[in-house]
Amino acid sequence: MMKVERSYTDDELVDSIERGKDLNGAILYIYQQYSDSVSSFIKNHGGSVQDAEDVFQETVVAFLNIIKNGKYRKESSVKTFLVSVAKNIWYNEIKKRESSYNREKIFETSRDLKEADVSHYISDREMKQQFRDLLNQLDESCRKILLLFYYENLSMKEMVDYLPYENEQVVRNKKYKCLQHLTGFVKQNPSMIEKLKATNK
Amino acid sequence: MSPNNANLLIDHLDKSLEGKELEEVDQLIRNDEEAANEWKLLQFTASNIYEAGLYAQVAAVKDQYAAGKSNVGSQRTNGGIVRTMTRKMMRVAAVLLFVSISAVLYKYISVNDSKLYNEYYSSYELNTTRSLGDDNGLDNAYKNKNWNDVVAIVNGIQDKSSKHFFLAGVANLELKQYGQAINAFQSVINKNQVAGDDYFGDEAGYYLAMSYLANREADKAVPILEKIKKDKSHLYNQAVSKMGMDFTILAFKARN
Repeated sequence: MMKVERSYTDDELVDSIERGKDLNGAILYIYQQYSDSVSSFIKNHGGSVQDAEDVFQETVVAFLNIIKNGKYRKESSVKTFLVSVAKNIWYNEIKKRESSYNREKIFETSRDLKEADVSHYISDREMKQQFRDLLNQLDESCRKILLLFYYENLSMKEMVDYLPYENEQVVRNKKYKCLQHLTGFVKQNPSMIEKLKATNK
Repeated sequence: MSPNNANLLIDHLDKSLEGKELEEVDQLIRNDEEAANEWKLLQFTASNIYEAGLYAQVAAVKDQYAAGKSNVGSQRTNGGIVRTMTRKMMRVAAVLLFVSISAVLYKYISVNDSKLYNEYYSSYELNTTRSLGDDNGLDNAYKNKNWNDVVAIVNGIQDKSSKHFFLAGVANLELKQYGQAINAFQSVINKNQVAGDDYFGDEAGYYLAMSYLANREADKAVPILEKIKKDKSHLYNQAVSKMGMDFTILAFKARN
């Protein structure tokens, strides 16, 4: 049976995420404490169970990203902040779906993310999914190299232990090729290039 | 853009440049539009790789949470009575403690390589992408679980690829020919090391460990599984993580 390994105050939770210390424990705690209330909100505002799961997952990713980028100002509780982020993600999603939802009825108040400008972290759901698809198009070794380096933050020396290559230089050369391969995929994706141009304006 | 400049931009992205070299690359980005665009593309790509990694980590914990939640749901009872009788509570606590200790002891005694293999082994599914190519006969035999045919077809192939060795390995594992399975998976790993490739690499590592478990060689399986467990980007990281306490006990036993 799953159990909470430890409980966190808001400050401890943010601190743990900032330091990357027991990140899995912090994420699990967020799920255990907040997923039900956020999911209820989504389900009560026109979302399916799957929507609620997806939105909460993206909310957590956005929250971690915001903290890791030093944009979390602690002006509200973690719960309030997560609900705000989820609302915004869901608002953007139904806007995109352009269905019979009446957004004004669903959201009686206007967008209410009062923290720092974190819109960058909660927008572009589709673009991020497209990017993950591109990453998955790489062969396994390339994907692994790029994730070990740019996500796990391992050095070339440490990466040798996880890869079937003899030394750091081979890994380094392979990484050049893999990254160029991936940027090649991105260059062939017009909507992603458009997005890139827009963010540079 | 020259390959050298492209690599220098990547070095800059990776913060591995300093001094004059760093200044030169900064200047290149300022003065050369193509370099500036490539630089932005690299930053965009690196930040999205990071986010994809984060997404995968959250997804893994989400799965763990969902699995735990369903367990909790199945174990929930219809409410309880608050008992105030301390003595009775102590008796219950003592019984629970005894049951817990017994359960831990039983767990410790019962976990072994065969148990882990029997509980966690599942046959490899050959997906559509991986079955593309000139191996129709082999792929069909594999998909139809004609394990002897798979082994015979692979034996007849002169220049075997990693995929051929891998499928032969799984077929041997299914036929309980563990020694041959180990040799086949080891061949995938050796072949990849020579070629500097990782084709079927993650799969071969995991199934090699499973073969060692089946062959009662936990001491050889444990280091491979530990490596997979530490490597979050490994295809079988989740599968090994799910072994939980069983794996911890086996690893302890294998070392002692």
